[in-house]
Amino acid sequence: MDHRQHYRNAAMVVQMNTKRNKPGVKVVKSMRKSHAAIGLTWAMLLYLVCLSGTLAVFFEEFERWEQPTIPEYPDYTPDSIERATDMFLAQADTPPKTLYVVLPSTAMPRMHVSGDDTEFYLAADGTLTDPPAQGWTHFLLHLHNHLLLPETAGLLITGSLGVILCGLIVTGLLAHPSLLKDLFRFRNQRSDRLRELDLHNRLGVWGAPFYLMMGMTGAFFGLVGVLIAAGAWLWTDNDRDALIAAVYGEDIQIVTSEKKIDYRSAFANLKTAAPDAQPIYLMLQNPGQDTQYLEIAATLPGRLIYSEIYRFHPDGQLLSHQGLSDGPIGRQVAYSVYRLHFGHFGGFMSKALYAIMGTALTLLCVSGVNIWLARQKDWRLLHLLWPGFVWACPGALAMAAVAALLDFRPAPVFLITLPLLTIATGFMASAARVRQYGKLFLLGCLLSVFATHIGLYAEYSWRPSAVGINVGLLLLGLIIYGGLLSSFSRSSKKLGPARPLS
Amino acid sequence: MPANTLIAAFTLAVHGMALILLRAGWSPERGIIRLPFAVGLLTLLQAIVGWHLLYGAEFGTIYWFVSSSIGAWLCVAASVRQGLNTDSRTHAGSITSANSTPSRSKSRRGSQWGKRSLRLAIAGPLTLICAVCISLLIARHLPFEPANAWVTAALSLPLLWAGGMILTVASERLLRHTLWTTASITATLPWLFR
Repeated sequence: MDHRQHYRNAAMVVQMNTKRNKPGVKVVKSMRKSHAAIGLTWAMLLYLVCLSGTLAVFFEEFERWEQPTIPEYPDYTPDSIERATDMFLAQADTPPKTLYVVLPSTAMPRMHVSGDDTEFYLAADGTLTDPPAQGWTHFLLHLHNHLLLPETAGLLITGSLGVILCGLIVTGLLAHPSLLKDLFRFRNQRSDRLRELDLHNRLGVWGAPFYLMMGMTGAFFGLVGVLIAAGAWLWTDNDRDALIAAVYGEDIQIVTSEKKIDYRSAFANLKTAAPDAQPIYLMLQNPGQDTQYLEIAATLPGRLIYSEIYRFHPDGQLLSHQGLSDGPIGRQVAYSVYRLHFGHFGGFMSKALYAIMGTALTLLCVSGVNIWLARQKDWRLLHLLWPGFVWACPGALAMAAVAALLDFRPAPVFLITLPLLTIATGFMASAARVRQYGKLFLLGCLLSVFATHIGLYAEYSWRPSAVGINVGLLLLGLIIYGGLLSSFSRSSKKLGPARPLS
Repeated sequence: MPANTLIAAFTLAVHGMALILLRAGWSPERGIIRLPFAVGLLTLLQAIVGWHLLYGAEFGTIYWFVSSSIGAWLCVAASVRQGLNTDSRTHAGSITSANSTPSRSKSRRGSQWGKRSLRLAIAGPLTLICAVCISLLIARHLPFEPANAWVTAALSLPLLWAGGMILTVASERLLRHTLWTTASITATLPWLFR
């Protein structure tokens, strides 16, 4: 080697070392390390919460599909509400502190009444009918909100997952130095590893604002309780209601001799005071007592707040409103979190957009782990277990749906099916085979759900919600079938190293 | 034709054009081409006006964010179908090979897992306690109305915890980081119990 070549090599080494030690490179490296460590540790739970959350966007439609025999109607009358509250109070041993009447809406054209732990759907004339099923939709929401754990612990964990999601978004963006350079890059034909990497980066970068919103609102749900509990312990002698009242506004106190609630007058006065307000539910506070009063929660056009709450004297006179729409900005923000997280505003279009974004977030979780698996030089059991878990989750959810339709409890079915299926995939020959069988299993489960629903409720299958969900199941089945066919045709492609033969 | 339909058509046209301009301002070989990309960004910002006119400031902003994401993914998908973006000259290849995990002995793997678990335990509960303490400090001492102070604190909590978690996991010096976190908790306590 001549001395020129020697100097050239030495200069290159110096240049490379300088590049490596640049502060920016160090930050990128540490962010990448952080992103991988946090993401891999929580991937399973994040995937479960994202998948269930994507489905939970349509929880109203699922509730209607699950109990198609319940009468549906677009409107209500003050008389029907009065009949419902009277019947509910007559059947209750002790009147509840608060009695709720949820009014019909476009997404949920059914009324229901509830108090304490009792709940009934209502016929159009206000008579009590069946109680809502604690079925698959209830299970799905419990899975998304609490991971099937006891309420406080579950909420704390899902709230923490929101924080983890925020952390992953920040580290993901900081770990991507050529973010602008790769803005639209997707190398589909290079290798499985690069495809997964580009999928992860494109889904992640372009969806980051939405994911951050989901993470923040999810964390808010889960962790606001911790903050209030700690604050109450420190400053209000464990009186959490005092702190909650400081944020959401205080309840009112009245004394009245009126025994009946004048719903007709209350609705008329609401129409005068807030013509644009659209009532969504009613709360009868302290029913039957001399401190009883009526609250009507109503949405306001163009506002993200869940509702404004208008308070009425039993004779129907408007007393005040809670200030959720025009009170302190913090109160408005706190009351907007629900709609922001679940996409329940602006009708079905918002739900569809949220479902697309939720699917993207779910894919992001999957592709993140896929990238890590593809980088491993040695074969690991995780190469089979991860795709096994990914495909077993929707399959187990569908099995739980079949069980719920047949009046079995869905949670045990899900909790038994998911680990069994995931472990079973550990005995398969390759990840490609796991994916094929996963798709086949899911296809079978979706068809079972469809067949069970049609078999049980054939005469109600023309109803919009039933048609929507059942057609959705078939379409999803068709997409999976297409994926299955294409995976059989290119079964030789494998992600990551193959399982050793011995 | 109702005014809303016209605004909707106009908004979709502007938003679509913005995304097309952004896509045109990017090439697989050169990355960002400044002028068309900047024009695309400005047009994208203009599209928010249409969404606000249609759905108000609150819904409009969300629709703008979501439709921007979905539109951009459609642009990416369209590029794939056209056979673009297939070059391999990016950082990804070198990074992936550099980051490949080498084989390790079982005992080394065990100690690595121990360290990782310890790190995650510090990033989890300890950092959470620290974030809760600072958030409570915000809630108590921020000169706002109680509702505003509490909601600011509630929104700060995930950000503080996420930030602390990132720093803990990325930190080379775990002991020093743990001491800092513990010191922060200790420093807030007198203010909280006052």
